[in-house]
Amino acid sequence: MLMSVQVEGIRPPAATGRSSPRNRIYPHRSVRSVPLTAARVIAGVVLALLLSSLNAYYAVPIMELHSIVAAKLVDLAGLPVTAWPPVDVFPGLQPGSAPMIEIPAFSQVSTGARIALIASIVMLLIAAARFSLFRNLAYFLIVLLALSAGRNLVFETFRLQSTMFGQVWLRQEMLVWLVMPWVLLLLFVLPHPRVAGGLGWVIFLYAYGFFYSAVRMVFILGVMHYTGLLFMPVLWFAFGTLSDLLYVLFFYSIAVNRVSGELWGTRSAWQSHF
Amino acid sequence: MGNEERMAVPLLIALSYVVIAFSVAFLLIYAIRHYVFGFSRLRIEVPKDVMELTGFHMPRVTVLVPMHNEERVAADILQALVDCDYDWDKLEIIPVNDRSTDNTRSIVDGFARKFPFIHPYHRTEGAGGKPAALVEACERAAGEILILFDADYVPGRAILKMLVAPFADPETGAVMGRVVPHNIGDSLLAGLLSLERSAGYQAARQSRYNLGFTAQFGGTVGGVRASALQAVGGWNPESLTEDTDLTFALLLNGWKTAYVNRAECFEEVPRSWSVRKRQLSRWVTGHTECLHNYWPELMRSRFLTGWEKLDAVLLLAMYWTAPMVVLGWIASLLLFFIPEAHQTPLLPLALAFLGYQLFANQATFLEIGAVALLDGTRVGTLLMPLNLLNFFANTGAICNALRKYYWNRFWGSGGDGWYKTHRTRLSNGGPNGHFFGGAHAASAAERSAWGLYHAQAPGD
Amino acid sequence: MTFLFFSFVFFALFYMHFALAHRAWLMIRGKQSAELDMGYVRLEDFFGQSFRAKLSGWLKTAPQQASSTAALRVFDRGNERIFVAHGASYPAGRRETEVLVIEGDFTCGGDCSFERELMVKGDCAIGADTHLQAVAVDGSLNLGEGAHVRRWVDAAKHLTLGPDVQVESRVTSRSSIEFLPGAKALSLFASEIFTEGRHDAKLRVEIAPAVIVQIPHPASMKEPAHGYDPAKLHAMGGGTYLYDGALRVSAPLHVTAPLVVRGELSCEQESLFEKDVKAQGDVEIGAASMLKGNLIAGGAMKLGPNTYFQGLLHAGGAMRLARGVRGLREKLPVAAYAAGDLIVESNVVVNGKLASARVVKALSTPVAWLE
Repeated sequence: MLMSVQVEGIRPPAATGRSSPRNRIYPHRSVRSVPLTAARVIAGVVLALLLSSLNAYYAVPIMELHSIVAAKLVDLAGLPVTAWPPVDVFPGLQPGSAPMIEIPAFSQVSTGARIALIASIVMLLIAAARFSLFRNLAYFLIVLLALSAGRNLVFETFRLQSTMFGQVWLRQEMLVWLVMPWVLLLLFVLPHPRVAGGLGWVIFLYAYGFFYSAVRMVFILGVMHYTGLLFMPVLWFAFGTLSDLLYVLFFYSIAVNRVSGELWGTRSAWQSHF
Repeated sequence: MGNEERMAVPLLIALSYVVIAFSVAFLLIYAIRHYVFGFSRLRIEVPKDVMELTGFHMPRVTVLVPMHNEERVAADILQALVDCDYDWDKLEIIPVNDRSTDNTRSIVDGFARKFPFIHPYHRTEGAGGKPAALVEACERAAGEILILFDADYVPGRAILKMLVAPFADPETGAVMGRVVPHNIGDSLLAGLLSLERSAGYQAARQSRYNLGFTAQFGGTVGGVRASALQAVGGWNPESLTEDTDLTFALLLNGWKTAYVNRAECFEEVPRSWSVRKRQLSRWVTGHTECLHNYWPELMRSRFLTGWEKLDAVLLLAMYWTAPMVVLGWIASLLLFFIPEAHQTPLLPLALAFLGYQLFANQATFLEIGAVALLDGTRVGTLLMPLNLLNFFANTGAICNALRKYYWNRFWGSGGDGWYKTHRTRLSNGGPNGHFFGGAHAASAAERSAWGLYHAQAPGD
Repeated sequence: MTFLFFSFVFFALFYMHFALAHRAWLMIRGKQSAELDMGYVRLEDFFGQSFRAKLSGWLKTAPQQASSTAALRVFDRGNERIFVAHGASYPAGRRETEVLVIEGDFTCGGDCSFERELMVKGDCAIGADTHLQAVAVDGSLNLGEGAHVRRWVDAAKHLTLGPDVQVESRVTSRSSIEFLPGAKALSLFASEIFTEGRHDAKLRVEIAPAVIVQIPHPASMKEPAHGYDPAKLHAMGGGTYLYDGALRVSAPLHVTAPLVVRGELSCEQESLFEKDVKAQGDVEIGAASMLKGNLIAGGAMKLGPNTYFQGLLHAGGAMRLARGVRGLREKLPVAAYAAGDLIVESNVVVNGKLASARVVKALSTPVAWLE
């Protein structure tokens, strides 16, 4: 025999529209997956296409803007750039501009620069001995420095014009900016649960990459101005496209860290509800 | 400059471009592979998951635990295996005491006296190494399924049932679970290896299994069907990576290796670079040897589809990416140092740098990021930029290992023998022993056939 | 000097890209991973048991509200409340927004709504079209027609899933589950699961027809026959065989060794599989067959009427258990799992588990009554 329980008089009116906190269970990580929605794919591809197309179509203004930013940084760095003559970057395109600054030959390089070279090699050796993970990279950089010093000794009269450096740099970075939206699509847009979040990262990183490219170029230019071509290979290796990889990786780690935290609290984001 | 010198320079430039093009193409294949695996794992549901069958397929199992001077950890793993929820009537544990000189023997015998299903095998002679020990131990195993654990692992209570479930499928020849590093804070290297392991298991192995390719048997936290092992001639005692060798021996005969992502077990990763370098060297040598031994048969195999063949070869050749990267760098730098090269448009050079540095390297990090999203791990993710150090370190070590392997192969000299990776974990009772988690032993009810219910009755 | 300062800023910017990694390393330094649950054991009725354990804890720790009476105790958990009553009967259309614990029997009329878990220590009968979050019952449970459960259902005694009942997660019973037409769940587990129209006809197990195809075939068989080509059979070793291609046999099939089929598999009625069989494609088993081992299909699977299986069924696609199918074995429960829909017709009895990545559905097949 069931007993009726009168509860109306005791219970206060419940809030309406309140959902249960235990609507879904949190599936084990072995069966989780993140939905890849059509909206995200389409939005990401459209943005990547747009950025790449804009980069190609407005290549010349972009190069000019890069040079303007670089020129400002050159002033901040106190580098005696005398001119920004035009340089051919790609066939068929109007020329961009590259900084003209004196780069000494090996015989004209200061003693301080030569000491700096030796000191760099010594520091790398110490770091290699101290940090085993860093060892292979350190040896590689030492080889580069030694080769550079050797090349400068053998081809003493070889001189790299700063405009040539600028020309190569622009070529490299223009190609990076052309391809970057697609790399960012794969890393930031497609795995990101919110379309706006992913697109935001793309736009931010595009702008960051542009600015950081100018900063790196000016730094390398300054080192070349004071030390000649001694450190050139190492700088090219470390601050060239490897640095593009590095900043993408840095921000990717932040993006994943943030999204991981968001997904953790959003049970319904997971497809499986076992 | 003479004629020869004039010709040499353009030839060198052309050769450099060829090397770069080849390097980029080779690395692009692997980059695409990583992107495919990363995305497929991220978004593919796991509807064919055999976990729903866990506990319903209960064949006779023999657990093999090779031991050599493992007095610190022997008791932990044996206790963990005894505490598993597998039916004792269908369980056999064979600790393989391989000529230990410490107290391993007495510890093992102590457990054997308490538990009748523990049958120690004390090896006092014969060829050295884990593969040789396994060959002899397997002759004594009564189980239909042989499960392997290294001595310093601590399996959870449910792992045996999970590892055994895929063998309900007669095509399954071997199974692999997921290893999870526990000593992530021991050194930066250990922390970085944790990221690498996660990507390798949660992303790569799971997606390869989902896509119908064979997962790779790892020699521990895994198992093999006894009849399949016998059919392919047993363990290869000559191989440095007997697990990889077995994976492909099985594959060539039509057996597949399953991957059980849910069957997780803690492991200890090397915390010093010297230990890691030796481990990597062994893996590189073993893998490459398997490549040379198996690729012709793989290509001819009637049991494999075209995609499976391609995947198998790519898996075995994966360590070649390291010398490809180095060759690409060398060629690029050569062009940089040749003054004449600066006069030619550097478009191909820039493109090459762009290709393999930007695109290819990002692909492996996508897998790491995908795993971080799925696992919900946050702090470790931020270590990713430091993984570049690991990348450079690995590249050097792999190139060195390949050099030694091909040198030995070419000159016919003996290579490295099998050696045990140095471990540092103390016993579970020590200060590091928290990960045994205080789990109580499985009860008789939980081990019983209908033990899929909790032993506690409702209302208790 | 200016350039030196610029260099310093540049290196600071460069270091920034490693700063968080450096900080992360310092945070995990010296620590061990604790991400694995070493004590985890897979339980089919995990949800029900876990909820009971948590509820027991809540009732011990949550403060009792002053408004509680002997008939109704109210516990306050802050974001929700727990009502505990001795027994209750809710009229139709009633809405309950708190966790409800009934220490006796419980019934409710149709079209009720329970936004949080319901725990009943006696017997329970839920009216038609009622919505529930989850329900745990220590007695028997009857879910009325059209009831909808957003999560799981667990009962200690007999459980009836009425017509068109929908359970979005697991259904477990320590006794038996009656799975009526139109009912759906993600998985069912019990000592006995049966659908409507149950009648235990005597199952013929002898293979008597004049023509059968045997795998492995006898040495005398050289030519293809009845859809089987002996040239396509290869030994994998270890007593396992592989058939290289689709196997569509127009006669009963008798398999005496583990078999892998690289394609579809179909066979006529009264086939006998003595060992594990796997087909990479779809599988269709003729009526009144017996499966003593496991049966795995890469695609869809259909078991013909009155087929008897003693092992596991696993399908990469949909699965259909036709009328009269029986799944039972000694000592261990059987299981059937489909990556697609798992359809169960009338007069099916399974001692163990039915599960799907999508839905397990009971269908009404009236022809069963005529057999």
